[in-house]
Amino acid sequence: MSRLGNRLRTIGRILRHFASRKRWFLVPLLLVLLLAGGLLVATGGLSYVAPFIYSIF
Amino acid sequence: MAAVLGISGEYHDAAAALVIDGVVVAAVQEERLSRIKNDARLPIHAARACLSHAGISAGDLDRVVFYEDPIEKLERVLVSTLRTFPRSLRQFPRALGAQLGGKVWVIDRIAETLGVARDRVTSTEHHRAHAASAFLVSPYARAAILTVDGVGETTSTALWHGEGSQLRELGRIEYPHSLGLFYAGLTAYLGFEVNEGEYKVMGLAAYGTPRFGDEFAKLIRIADDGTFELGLPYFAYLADAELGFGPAMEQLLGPCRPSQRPWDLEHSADDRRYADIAATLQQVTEEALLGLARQARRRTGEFALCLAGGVALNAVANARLQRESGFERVFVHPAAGDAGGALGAAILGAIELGDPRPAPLASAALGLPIDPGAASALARELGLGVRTAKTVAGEVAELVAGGKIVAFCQGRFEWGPRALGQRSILANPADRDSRERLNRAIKRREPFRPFAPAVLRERAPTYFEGAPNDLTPFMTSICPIAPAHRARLASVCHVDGSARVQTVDATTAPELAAVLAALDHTIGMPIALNTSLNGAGEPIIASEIDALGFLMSHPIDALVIGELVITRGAG
Repeated sequence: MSRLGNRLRTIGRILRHFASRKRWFLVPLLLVLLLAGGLLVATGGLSYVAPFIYSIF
Repeated sequence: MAAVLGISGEYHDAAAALVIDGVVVAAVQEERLSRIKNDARLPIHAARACLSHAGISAGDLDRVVFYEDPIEKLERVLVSTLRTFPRSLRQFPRALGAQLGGKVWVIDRIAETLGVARDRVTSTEHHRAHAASAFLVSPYARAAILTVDGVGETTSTALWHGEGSQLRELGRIEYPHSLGLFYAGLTAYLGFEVNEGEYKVMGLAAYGTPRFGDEFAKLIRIADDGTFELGLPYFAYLADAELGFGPAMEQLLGPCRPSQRPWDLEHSADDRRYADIAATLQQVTEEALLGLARQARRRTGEFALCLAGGVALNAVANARLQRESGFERVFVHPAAGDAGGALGAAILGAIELGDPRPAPLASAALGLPIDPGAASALARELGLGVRTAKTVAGEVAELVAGGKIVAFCQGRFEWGPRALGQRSILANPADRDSRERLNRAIKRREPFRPFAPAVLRERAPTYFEGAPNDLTPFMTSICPIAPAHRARLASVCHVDGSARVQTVDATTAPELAAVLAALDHTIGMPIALNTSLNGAGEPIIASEIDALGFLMSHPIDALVIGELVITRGAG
């Protein structure tokens, strides 16, 4: 339960961050990211790691 | 009075650092414990090692500070992806995987893994952590500070003014314009591994002529006020994280160098061209840094400059800053890359909780100690020869003078990428055979890479011009070797007559200082060839187990741990 609480707290911080910066135009992209992220976690797709030249993200 | 743990990781070299009551108690890179070079994963082993060394538990921590803001980073990734759409389409799933697979949850993961209350885990800004790591352990009360790396949250370069415990930002250059990514992109073009091959490019540069100035003027524009802009069409990292350079760079400079081909600077015209490109890259990078430093001098009026960020590990550029920037004194944090951000974050947290600024960093021996007792027991079990030296320094000096290669382990291992006498390989700096054996059989490095000398601090001016200075204790700069001594110091003299010298002080590194003093009697110079105790592609040795493993798998002549001399034959 505490893990879930931590994650919800972080999601709240992310939403507050984008709201306070007036970055509303990023919200659709963010929602797609969160949705796709959920799918990736659910399907185990995150095991794929690219050979980054430089970790810029 | 507080106990604060700083954490860096998830991107490059992960590390943890612990500050208690304003004292830097421990600082450890994860790679030393995980034995994975440049390990970027959350540094849980390093964090636990710091706590265990201090004899406290995670519950005793008043604060844990992560070295950058993961949400600011997420925003930059999103904005950058949008800006470069549709070219960024290919990297989109990877960016998404990296962010949502762990990076945005890093604060939660730190709290859960370490067992610290979530509200005690905070974050700071990436370049502020770098600036703190450089200034707040420097010997200066006031200084200009430059932080220069690939990219933090959004910033690649920042100018700060440090005064007492305070840092004030004066200006910044934002991603995608970045000296770190400029150097990294061309490191990849030259066929080296990024985040590892930059040192090799720096060594290679001395073999070339910087004749590609016109071409490089298209890659980077340096303004009079010290700012710079990259020619972005030549760099592909905006739209593809696998590539640092794009097809436009190959059209400009010719085909990139295949990564696995052995170097032949004598017979290959192609390799000489690549050396010329490396020389131009190094020269342009130095000029960009000089521009930034001169601007820092004008803006702050200070006489001292502190540097951190991955670009500050460029020892050749640091030497030019020391000579030509107008600053009287220059200091570079020994772990100037992302690892150092952990210490900066811990210090910022401690100051915020009311603790004083730490004392200037006198030694980089902030890691875990080596255990001679355990080493002795294990070595006997393995059938190795073990004996206690009558005088360690005298015996090491005798071995080195006789052309032997000695692994030298004393006390706590170093913080940062340089071996400074706690986990070093020592050899005779006047013996070319020792150097050849080291290069070919032990380190297996490119032939153009130089080895570094360690010299007694008080004798340094005889052999090295400009030494000692605030950079030389941590090997973050180079000095010209005095012409009269170049022939004798051939094994540590680079092709341009310079050496990345370490000056050794008997008060901060007594064991190595004693060996150097003994070498003065045996070879007539208080100087040793000093290179890091690791094999090709491995992190530097940490524990006695690592050290014994190294002895058994590499053709060194002796391993010295504390007062023990361990050899392969039965003792």
